[in-house]
Amino acid sequence: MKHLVRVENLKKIFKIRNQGRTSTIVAVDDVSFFIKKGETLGLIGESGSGKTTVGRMIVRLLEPSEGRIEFDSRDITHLKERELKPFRNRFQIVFQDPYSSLNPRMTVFQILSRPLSVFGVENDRRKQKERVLKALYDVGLHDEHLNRYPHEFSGGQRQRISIARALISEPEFVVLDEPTSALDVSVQAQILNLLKYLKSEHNLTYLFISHDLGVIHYMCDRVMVMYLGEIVESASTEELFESPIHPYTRFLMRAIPDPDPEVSTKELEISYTERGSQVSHSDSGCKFFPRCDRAIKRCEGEHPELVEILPEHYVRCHNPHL
Amino acid sequence: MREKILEINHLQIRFDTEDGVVKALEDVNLELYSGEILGLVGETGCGKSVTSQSVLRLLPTPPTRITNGSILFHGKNLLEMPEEKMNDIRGGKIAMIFQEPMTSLNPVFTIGEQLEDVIALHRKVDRKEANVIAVKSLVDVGLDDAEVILSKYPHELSGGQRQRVMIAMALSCQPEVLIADEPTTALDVSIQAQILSIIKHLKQDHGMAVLLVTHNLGVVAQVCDRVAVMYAGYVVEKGDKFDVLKTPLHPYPRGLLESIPRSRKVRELRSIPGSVPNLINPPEGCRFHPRCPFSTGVCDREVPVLEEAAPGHFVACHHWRRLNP
Repeated sequence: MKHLVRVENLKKIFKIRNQGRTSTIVAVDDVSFFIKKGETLGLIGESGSGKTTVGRMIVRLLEPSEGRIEFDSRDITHLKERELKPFRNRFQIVFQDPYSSLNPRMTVFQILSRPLSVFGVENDRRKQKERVLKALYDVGLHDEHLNRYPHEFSGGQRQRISIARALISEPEFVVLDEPTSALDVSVQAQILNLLKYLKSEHNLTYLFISHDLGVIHYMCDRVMVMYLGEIVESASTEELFESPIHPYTRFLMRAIPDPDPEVSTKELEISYTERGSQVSHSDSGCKFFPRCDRAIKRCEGEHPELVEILPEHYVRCHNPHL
Repeated sequence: MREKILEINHLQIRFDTEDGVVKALEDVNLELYSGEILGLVGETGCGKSVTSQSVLRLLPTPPTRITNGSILFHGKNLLEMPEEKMNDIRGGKIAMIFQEPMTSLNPVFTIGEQLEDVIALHRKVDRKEANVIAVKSLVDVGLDDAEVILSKYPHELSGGQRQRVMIAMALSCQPEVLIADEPTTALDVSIQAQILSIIKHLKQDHGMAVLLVTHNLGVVAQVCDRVAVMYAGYVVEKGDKFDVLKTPLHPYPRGLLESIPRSRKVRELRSIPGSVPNLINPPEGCRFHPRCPFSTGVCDREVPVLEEAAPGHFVACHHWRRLNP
């Protein structure tokens, strides 16, 4: 299958200024992957793993420090805003917080018609209205919502509006950055089902960013696990969930409580004395070394490479769980 | 026989707002036994936090009005207790921790100053002894370098460390009851697992009773003994966690459990249609009926009572018998 998105050696370094001193944080460290046309690629990790930064760089909301981003076989890494314009409507993003991502002074019609005018997709006002209405129906909202403001909607409805805004310019690729994290589970289920339906309806390709393993399992074809800016494991969803190999992935799966009490009460054997995620160690070693229960001598001094351990199953670990 | 430490009876709470009176709690009945962890679950606006905050009378009046009910702690009604007696109970016999540990700590004092203050006040000991107890409580929650932590300011700690400090503070006064309001919601899963494990050990080692407020059914499955599910100001089902999570009788917890995504093998998730009602004008009768696939004429007229369907397993639904043959 064709690769719609290709990312090579992507790196993002943030400069932090604190009391006159400047320090740097490597948020994304040499990340490479591809997304096939029509698939949903999951990106999972805890806060600070760099997953959101990756998503924002791909849609060019953040400038990469190093590396290369290809969209539909075109290098878009350093395109100027003007050159980027023909691409802008082809990839879109939905943000986590449906409260801060919609302009409170704009009506639903203004929010949804804006991309049509900005991208020059449709400038005729009557036709704009037709498309806005169609986008609204698509996400389960109605005519009467057209002239309302964001504050008049519930969290779930707002996220529907955000999704409609992302899809109205008929993109091929959408980054979904924790689109349901701010929602209650019953509403989350509605939105996840909607996203699945829209994907098949509009032949979309998704990058689905989440910290929730259950959501990733339900939504994705393939999954990448990030830890401190690096991909530590990637595989098909079935394989990753059935036989996770990297100690961090295995740790995550144990840490997430299952709603079935028979499954859940057995484990929780995670030691709760902090073995210092703060502990500094030599930069050359594995980043997960200070927290790893399978660490060997080699892990401290030698940084592991991402290796294809099984067909299409990549792991960054010196002592993988095989 | 286990002792009922805390008992909430027919609690009804109103908030006066510009838009009207919010009927936040209608008829909440809960009991917490010694040495158990009771999970209080529900979605946004169900009243779980209001319920937990009302125990220590933390809700500002006005706009809050407690219009009915009682909260009994060892048989004494906390709602009628004089304020100075209440101050002994707050943080002393009943301790509470919150979702965001950053806002619960004072940013201009060190952890040591804050922790020792609380201990000196409630345990009636001098500064030196307070320091010894503070160190011990921090070690108890897994912060081994306690002396270092005591000298730090809240912003110098990670979210997980701050929540541990809050738990240490709660625990340092040897409370009988710990109320934990979404204690892990702001934390990463790995830190969450550690905090839950600490709470579980507190119960086992100190015999503490815990009221754990959460929206996460996984958390309930992992650490609680019993669970009460709330919806729009009512407890709709409560009982042993195995009963409620394995064989829920009420359509709402059933729907909630089916809404949790777990596997790709499920083609389409079951979801609960609609969203939680506005509690200024809540639905008549059973407040869940507009979203319930099984509702009939009786549901929009009469409020179902919480009845004991099986020993210790309570449900408030007109149709639970028909739905669970």
